[in-house]
Amino acid sequence: MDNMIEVKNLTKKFKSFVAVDNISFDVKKGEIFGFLGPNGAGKSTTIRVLTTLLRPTYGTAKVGGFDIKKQQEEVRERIGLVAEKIILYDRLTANENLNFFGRINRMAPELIKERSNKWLKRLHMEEWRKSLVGTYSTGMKQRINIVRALLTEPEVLFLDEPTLGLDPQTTRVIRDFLTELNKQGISMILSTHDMLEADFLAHRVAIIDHGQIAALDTVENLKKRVKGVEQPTLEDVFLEITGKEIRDIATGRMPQSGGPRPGGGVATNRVR
Amino acid sequence: MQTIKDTYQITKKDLLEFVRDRLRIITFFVMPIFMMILVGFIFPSQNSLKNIPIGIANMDKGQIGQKLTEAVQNLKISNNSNAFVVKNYNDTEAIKEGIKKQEISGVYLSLQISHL
Repeated sequence: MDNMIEVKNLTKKFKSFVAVDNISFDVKKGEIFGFLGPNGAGKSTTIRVLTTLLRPTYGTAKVGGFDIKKQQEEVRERIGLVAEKIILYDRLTANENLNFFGRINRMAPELIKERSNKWLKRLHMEEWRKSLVGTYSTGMKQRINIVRALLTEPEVLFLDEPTLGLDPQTTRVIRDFLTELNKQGISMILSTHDMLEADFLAHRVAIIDHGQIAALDTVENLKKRVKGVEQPTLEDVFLEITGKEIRDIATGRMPQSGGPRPGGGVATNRVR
Repeated sequence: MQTIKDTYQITKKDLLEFVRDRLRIITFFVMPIFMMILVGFIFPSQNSLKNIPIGIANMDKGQIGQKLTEAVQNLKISNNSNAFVVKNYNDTEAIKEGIKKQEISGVYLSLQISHL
């Protein structure tokens, strides 16, 4: 299986608002696929559809070879989600959080402990594992959030703005860690507004605007599209394709509230 | 079987969160008592709460403590019954003993406030 993700003519509507409009793309095995776009372009909605949190209105997609509409359980067994919103409980310690998410994903306590130890140590969070998550800084919470997403050792990792609001030190640690994970063969979809991050991490980049894919290519090829700039950056490419005007879009939907939901998303992953 | 296991995990997590949230605990225990008393005041009946035995340890030397104690003693609900039956104690330890012996079901402490 060459492609870990295959998306064909995917459309997601919220009443009359078309959030994702007939998009198609593939993500190869072991690839980091950057997903860029202005606010409200449809990045997060696409990720929610691919992680089975939302049902597509039209079109199909396969993740790890399984249909997101007909084989949701199988898809969830193979994915990890690091969402915009940190999926952790503030009044539980890191250990308790990881144990809860592991157990709810049918993992044996020994396996949870083994994997938590490995990733917590790697992300320099071992000494904080017995402290309440609510007392952590944003960077610490995000590192535990990544460990939570990796507990099930997913084949595909969905990252929705993983370094948003983090300091340069934590950003660097997370970027290096993601590169390391990718070398181990984990495919990733990375949604971000950080052009440097996409430039640094992504093998290919899709720029999505108004729910449609405006450009899809390697970073190098995209940079060649920009005329009149000596050394174009990914930001130049992005502005060239999406324009410079500010986007304000209200979808008519309230954002999802509350803490993580055991019934949704990564919380229902299953360990094979 | 798996559903039961999941329910157990979620319950365990929710209880842990609950016991660590002071505000939630206070709301959980105090609000029903408060609502019972409030409803008892608004809609008095034969069965409404009245003559609730409470203990007071008035450790205030001045007039404020005495006035507060009298106010609690004379508090009436709308069918002219006393809301509380007050038993006086010397200190907090005596009140604790009173609760243990089930002489009183509530506590009102008048602290040393006259000098404030």
